[in-house]
Amino acid sequence: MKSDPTTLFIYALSVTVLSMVSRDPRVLLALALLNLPLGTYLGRKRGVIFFLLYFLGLFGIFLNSVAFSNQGTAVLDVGPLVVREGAVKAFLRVFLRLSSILGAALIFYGLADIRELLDALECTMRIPRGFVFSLAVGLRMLALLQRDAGEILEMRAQRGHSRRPLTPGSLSSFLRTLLSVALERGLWIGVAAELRGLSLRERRPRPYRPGLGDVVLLVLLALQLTITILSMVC
Amino acid sequence: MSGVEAEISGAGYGVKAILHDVRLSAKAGETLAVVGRSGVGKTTLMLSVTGVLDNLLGGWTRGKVSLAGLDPIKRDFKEVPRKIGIVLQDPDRQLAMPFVLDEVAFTLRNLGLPEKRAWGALLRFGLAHKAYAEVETLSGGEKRRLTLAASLVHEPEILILDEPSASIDPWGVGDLKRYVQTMAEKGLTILLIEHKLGFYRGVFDRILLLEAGSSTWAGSVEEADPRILEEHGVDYTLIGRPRERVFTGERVAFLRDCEFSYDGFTLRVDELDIRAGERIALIGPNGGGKTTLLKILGGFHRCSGEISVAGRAFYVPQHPDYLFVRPSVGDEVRDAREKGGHEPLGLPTGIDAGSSPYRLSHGQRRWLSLAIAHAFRPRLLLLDEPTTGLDLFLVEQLTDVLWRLSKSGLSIVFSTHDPRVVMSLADRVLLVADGRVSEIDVDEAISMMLEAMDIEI
Amino acid sequence: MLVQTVPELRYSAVDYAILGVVAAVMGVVFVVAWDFYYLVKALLGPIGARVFTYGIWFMAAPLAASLVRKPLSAFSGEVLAALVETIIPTYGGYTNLIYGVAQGLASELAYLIFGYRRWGPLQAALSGALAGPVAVTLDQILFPELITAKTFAALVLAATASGALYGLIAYGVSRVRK
Repeated sequence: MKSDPTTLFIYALSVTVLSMVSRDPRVLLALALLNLPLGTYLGRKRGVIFFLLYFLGLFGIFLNSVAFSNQGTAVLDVGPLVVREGAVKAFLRVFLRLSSILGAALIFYGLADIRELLDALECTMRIPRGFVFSLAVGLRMLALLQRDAGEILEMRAQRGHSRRPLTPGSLSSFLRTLLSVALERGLWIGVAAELRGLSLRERRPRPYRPGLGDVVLLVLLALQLTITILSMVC
Repeated sequence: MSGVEAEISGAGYGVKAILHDVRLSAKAGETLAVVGRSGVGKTTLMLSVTGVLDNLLGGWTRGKVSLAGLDPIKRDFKEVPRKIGIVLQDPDRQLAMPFVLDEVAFTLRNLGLPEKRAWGALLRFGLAHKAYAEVETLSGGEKRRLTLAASLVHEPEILILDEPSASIDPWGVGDLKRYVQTMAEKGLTILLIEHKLGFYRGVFDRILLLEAGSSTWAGSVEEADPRILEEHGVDYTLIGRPRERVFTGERVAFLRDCEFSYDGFTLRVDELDIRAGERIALIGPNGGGKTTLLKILGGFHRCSGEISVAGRAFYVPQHPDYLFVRPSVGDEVRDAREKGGHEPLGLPTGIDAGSSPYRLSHGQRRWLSLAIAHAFRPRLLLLDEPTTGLDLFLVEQLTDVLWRLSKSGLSIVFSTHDPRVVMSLADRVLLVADGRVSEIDVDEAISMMLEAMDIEI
Repeated sequence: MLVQTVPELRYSAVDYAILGVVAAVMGVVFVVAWDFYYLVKALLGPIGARVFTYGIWFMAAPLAASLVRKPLSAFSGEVLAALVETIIPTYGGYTNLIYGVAQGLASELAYLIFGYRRWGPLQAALSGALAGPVAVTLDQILFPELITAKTFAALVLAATASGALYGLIAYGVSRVRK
């Protein structure tokens, strides 16, 4: 299935918003069932680490549910830990909401091509060209900076400093080095871009022409929108 | 009319003038080498004649500049991109797009030209098979070729290159020279900003020598006096200073049947002994495993087989900045003393202890990184391309210090692309290519590097 | 120079490139902090994880504004960082973008109310702090089952204080080449 990045962008963003505003467990279940299996299938190549972290996080959600919503009749009683109905309901609702958000993101990751997305942001979604240039530079630099970050952390360890910069002091120290290297690159990338005509750039608008892949997603989205609205009205 | 003419009586930022009196003239089709040691204003001159200094960086230029018939400083700055192509020192400070094809298409779309032309440029620079690859997966040489493709795809009249060989291996230098020569034959006007002039013999027609922000000499290649150029830190003859060799003490480190793999690349070392006071050069193409070998010796990578290092090893990365952890030079020195347990190497005069380490010049940062390493009193010092971006004087200062340290028993292993450094510093040379390590004769190594760079001595 | 008389409006290519740098730097920080975040999340849950990392998530705006001293730089920096995180696969998916836009608008206020004439440490701290209540409000929408009225108030306080602290750090780090 081939979909326009614009469609994928709108789809994932809308489903995320719907999942965030829905309170009805039946709606959350419907959204999760529509998005998670499809997302898991489409995003399988990109998503292995995702699922691991996701299930790791479930435990935490459960703990929070017990901590903050432990009301009602007891469902489980193991010595000091009493899990009540409220906690189970809270856990399920959060679990379903995060599942549909993750599912929608995986549909996007599975089908969107970053090159085409950048182009669509500029030509179809009409985001200002400078902003799209920033985003392209950000994505280019990210790959470079990840390598830099690895080196910096190794060098910190060699000098007897913490390898994990999580305290405000070590984070500042790590960021100073990373930012210094990155800013020097950024300055010259900007100079080179200007000398290659960035300010002469004119937008080439491209009208949005949905294909089959887009229609499928838009219909799915309309369905989810209807379900959510109906649940709020009824 | 094409070509570049500039009569600049001052240029700089705020109240600070960096250029004082520069006359630059490159007629259409000429290749002009702008030379001089680090910090004389070569890059500022490039920024000034392209109009970037005045129009983008908030600086100022006094005087007249004509660039392919345009007035880049005032009226025509926006039109400059149509006429010039620009190649900067480090491809990572120039490439803006995440993917190869888009980098070339970026120039074309900016200038309103058909984007399918990008393919022609990619083919010409041997990158068509990587069109959809992420830029970060390219080798150093490929990134350099991509900057050339993206700078020439719109067929500019003028090509400006700012120390284009600083970051590539000898084979890449050879390629680069051939591309520049082809451009010159096509009639492009070329400004080549460089201090390693010897690498480019046969490529340029005329030389402009800068000293402290002013042009002191200009003339043709035939008129140039190598002695005067070298007095100004410009390496013309490419003769390193060979020093007394081979001081071998006890064994400091050894590797046996060592193998290390990552991302599908494997480095294998069958046998390597390092003795006290030895200076060993690692040469070979980018991506061949030089850095990996240094990092194995530094203990950053764990390899299978036997490895032993007596005492501490200290690795100094190619970017000295990676090593800094404190906001000021004084704090860096104190931190190194405290964590390393010894007195760091003394810093040259002129470095303010209150200054941020990131504000120092490239040569000073390199020096600070060595000072920090010394505070840890390693038995084995590992240097990743320690002379990149340093001019002749700085290279000599650095090799002097390293030579002195090695006389006191420190073993030094360094990677380099520079035959001059091999000549003046190496006792032994290891060729690291395609994941394999083999020892070769020092003279053989030097002639291999010169040949790769297409230089005859 | 902390005070400008007339705010400059037009962005240059260098400004755009620096905004891209900020987005990438924040992307790397999140990657570096990522496993820590998940560890905390497994031990203390999503609410606990957020308390411990709150301020880090608000740094892009004050960092961008301290480097590019022009209107909308704080907002752009935050949104770009969020977009980068949305595009490279991260667990939060499009919630990153929603948080980014809302926090970016709040952080931008810190510079707007000073008429885009001051770009110092106070504004950076304020910029980080203002993102706090917005982020907690969004958390309340995302995890309504987990945040009670009492915890909400405590979280707002924590996020605001943490935002101010990391805003200051962002300002300090931005001076690296000055």
